[in-house]
Amino acid sequence: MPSRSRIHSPLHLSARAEILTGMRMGLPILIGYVPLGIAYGVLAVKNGVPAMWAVAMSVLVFAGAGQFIAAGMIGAGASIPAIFLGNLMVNLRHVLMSAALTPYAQPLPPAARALYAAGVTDELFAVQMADFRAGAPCSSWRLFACNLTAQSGWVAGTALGGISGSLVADVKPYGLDFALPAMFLALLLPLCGDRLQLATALSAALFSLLFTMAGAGRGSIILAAAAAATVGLFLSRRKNAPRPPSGRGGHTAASPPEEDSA
Amino acid sequence: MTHLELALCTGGMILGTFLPRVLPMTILAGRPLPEAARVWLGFVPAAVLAALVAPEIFLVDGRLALNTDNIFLLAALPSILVAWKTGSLFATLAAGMGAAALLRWGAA
Repeated sequence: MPSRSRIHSPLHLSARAEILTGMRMGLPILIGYVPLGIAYGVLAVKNGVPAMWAVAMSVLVFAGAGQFIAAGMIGAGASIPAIFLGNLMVNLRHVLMSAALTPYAQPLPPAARALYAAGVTDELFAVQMADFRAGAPCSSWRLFACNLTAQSGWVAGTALGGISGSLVADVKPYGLDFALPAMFLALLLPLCGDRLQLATALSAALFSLLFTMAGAGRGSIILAAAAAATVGLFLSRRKNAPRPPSGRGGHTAASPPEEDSA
Repeated sequence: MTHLELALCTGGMILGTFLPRVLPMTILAGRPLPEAARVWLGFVPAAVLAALVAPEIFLVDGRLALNTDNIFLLAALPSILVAWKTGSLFATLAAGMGAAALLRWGAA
């Protein structure tokens, strides 16, 4: 019966269209992730991570800042629990992004939703959140195509960097050792448009310097961040005493968007 | 590091990455956190990033180095400017790493 193929064909076409849309959304991120991945691959090899493992980490973990931190910690001989904690700490920011995407990703089956959430980086969050806010429906084809397109740039860059890493005698003349601080600044500055966020960041920087110079070691970062977030909470309470804290950007991400009707 | 250690390390990184990304969208979905926890959590990203970056750019060998010999401090200035103006990860990395490379080339 011809009707059967007619029913199948539009579904097939729409999946293809969604995949193409997803790839188009991920392409600019892919282009940015290739040089970033090269920097990571070189640094990983320089810190004693074999190129093969650096690529495996980019496939399995897919976390820019987390992987950079882990490479540095491996080079410094840190323990595995410490590396886990370092990753957890720098990735805590994703709690908010994941919570913000939740109402839109609700139509996905639980396993697919978990797998999708595991692959959402800062840049993918920005692109997909904007897409959802503009009224895009939840399509697993589009979301996974977008995530995988971006990740392929990260993995390809890591492989290139891992291979050429052994040819680079020293990363310093290329400024590669500044990649991680630059990445932190790139993620931090867009948050600082909000005065409470800026005050929190400045107190965190101050606490971190004080604790580090006092010899608190790696724990000083967690302590400083927790103390500064508490300062931020305290300041927001004082500032917004009569009305509930409202804001924009990062710190409202945990509240579901009001236009959600799906 | 042995392959076993690298595998365990990768496992730790997977956990440290997937827990914050996956939990809110799965078991925490539809269970809103208390207001204070939500607001506190909202300040965590800026706090963690600032706490991580400050020692990198202000300290050299564990001591405060507010001088022009501190390459990372100088390279942070164009990075901050570009991050602020563009919000682009790639542009910020290019500015910061380029500045660090240039400064070292000039100092050599």
